[in-house]
Amino acid sequence: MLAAIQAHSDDVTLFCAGTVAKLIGEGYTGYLIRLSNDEKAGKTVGQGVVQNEIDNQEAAKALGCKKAFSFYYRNHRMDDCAMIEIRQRLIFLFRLLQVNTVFAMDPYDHYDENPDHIVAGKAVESASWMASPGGGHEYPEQLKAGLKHCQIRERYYYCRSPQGHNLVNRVVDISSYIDHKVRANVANKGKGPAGDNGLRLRQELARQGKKLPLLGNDDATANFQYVKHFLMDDFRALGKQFGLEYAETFRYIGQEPDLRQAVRKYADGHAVPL
Amino acid sequence: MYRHGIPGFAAAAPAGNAAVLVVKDERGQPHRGKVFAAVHAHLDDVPYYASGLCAKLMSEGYTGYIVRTSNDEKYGGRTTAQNILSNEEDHFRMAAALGFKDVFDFYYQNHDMNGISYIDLRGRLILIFRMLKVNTVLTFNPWGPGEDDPDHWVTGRAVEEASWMAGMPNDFHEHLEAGIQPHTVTERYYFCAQPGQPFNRVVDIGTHIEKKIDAIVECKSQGNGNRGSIVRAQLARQGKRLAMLGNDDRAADRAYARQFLLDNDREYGKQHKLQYAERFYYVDHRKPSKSKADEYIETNAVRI
Repeated sequence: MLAAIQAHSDDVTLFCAGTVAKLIGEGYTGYLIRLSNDEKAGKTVGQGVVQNEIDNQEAAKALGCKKAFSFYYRNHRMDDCAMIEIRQRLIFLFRLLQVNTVFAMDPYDHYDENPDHIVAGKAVESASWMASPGGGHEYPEQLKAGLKHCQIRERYYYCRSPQGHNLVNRVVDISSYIDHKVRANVANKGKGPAGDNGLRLRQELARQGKKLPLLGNDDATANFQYVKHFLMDDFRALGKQFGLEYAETFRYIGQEPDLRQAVRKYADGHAVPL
Repeated sequence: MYRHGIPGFAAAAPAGNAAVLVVKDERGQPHRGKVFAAVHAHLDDVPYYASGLCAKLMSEGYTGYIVRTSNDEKYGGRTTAQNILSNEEDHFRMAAALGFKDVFDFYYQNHDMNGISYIDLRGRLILIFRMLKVNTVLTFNPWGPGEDDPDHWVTGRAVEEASWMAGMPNDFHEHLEAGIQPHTVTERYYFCAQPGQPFNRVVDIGTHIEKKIDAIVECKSQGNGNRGSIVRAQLARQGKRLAMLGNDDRAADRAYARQFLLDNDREYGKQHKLQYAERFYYVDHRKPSKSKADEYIETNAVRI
């Protein structure tokens, strides 16, 4: 089970949708969890909230996720939320869904000016281990409600500036899943650089008596091609550095070595008769 | 934390113009199938303020659960860590003595609960109210004057808010994914914990006083539950004894509690010709089976 957690409807789609789609393609069950209500993107607050709610659902479908969740904390104000309550809710969901792997905004992404990203990353980081038996007796009432501890063994931290300031230790080849990533971004109509911008450009050119062959003959093609051609540059450039067509980068934190196994191995190898 | 010997405590006033209802034992098990949660901050809160009512409700068919919100680290006379442990153990024993089905301990830092994330506390209570399908809560009155322990009013307010929010499907909607349905708590009994706090119900606990004593004597880390045996031991060291304290520690604790720790309950009862009573501010949010609109439609709707 994987949970891709984002503050906003376009975070996962822009920065890690290829890897999420890849893991789902390889057998993971995926869930998309959005923490904010995205109220700052829309003609009115109400319209923005509704459109982004729809976008989150549609992006989840495009990625092959089983379900999408939204917590609806106020956009750009998540540093005013009680992080411990966000963490409580994430622990609940991680246990309910028996999550093994999480994707989250890197909580150590230097120079990220958006507080929602940092809060989301920190909440996921702490919830990931507290949801497990090793995290101690957190929220025992959840266990009494029938939930079970989960073991989150892998964390993929993505960031807003993939070639930027954060530590990267994993490059993922997403060439086979670039179309999934594109479609997830096209689903983001309420905000971000993708959505309906292809069809808008096509309409604008048509009003001038022109067309771009790249954008094809219908709106869906125009949106898809626009995103793939113009918005995937960062991921093409990343791939190029490693001889790949497209890539995403992460700070990856895997399972910690099992100390007891190491001790056992040492004892087996070094124990002598009394 | 129970406040002993507060002058004028028994003179707390009835609530506004509300009539005070004296509640006596009901026959049989009229509340079978119903659930209540007693939510207190410290080990000795429920035993002193509401254990008679808890025993009464359970004897009349309710299933009871108890939630302690603080870790009680400031009481017990030992190190902070040892205090947490001894209060934890006392809490389990006290809950068992009263017959609670299960115990929840949240362990927020004692005396500092006005500094915690209040919304985290509320979220946890909402989960418990939903999963246990709680009908009735007993807790501190968040609006009661004179409450100088922040753990008390923070707990009371969180319970008050969680009681109705637990019924709202869009609050913590992820609970629904786990099969835990929205559930509104409709009845609240607020403790009358400080002088001047309002009450509109006086509950006759005469037939439940032994259970109340059972609960109080388990409050050893705080609440004077073991005061009788301590006095007995002190007197023995001086070559003396008090006949009322009996011949063993258990008897001494119970006798001490009965003689010295139930003055408020006796006083509350005396005013209504009862042997012992507890006071509460009761809030009823149960909906009538038919609304005014339902009744109007039923009476006035005609065929088209």
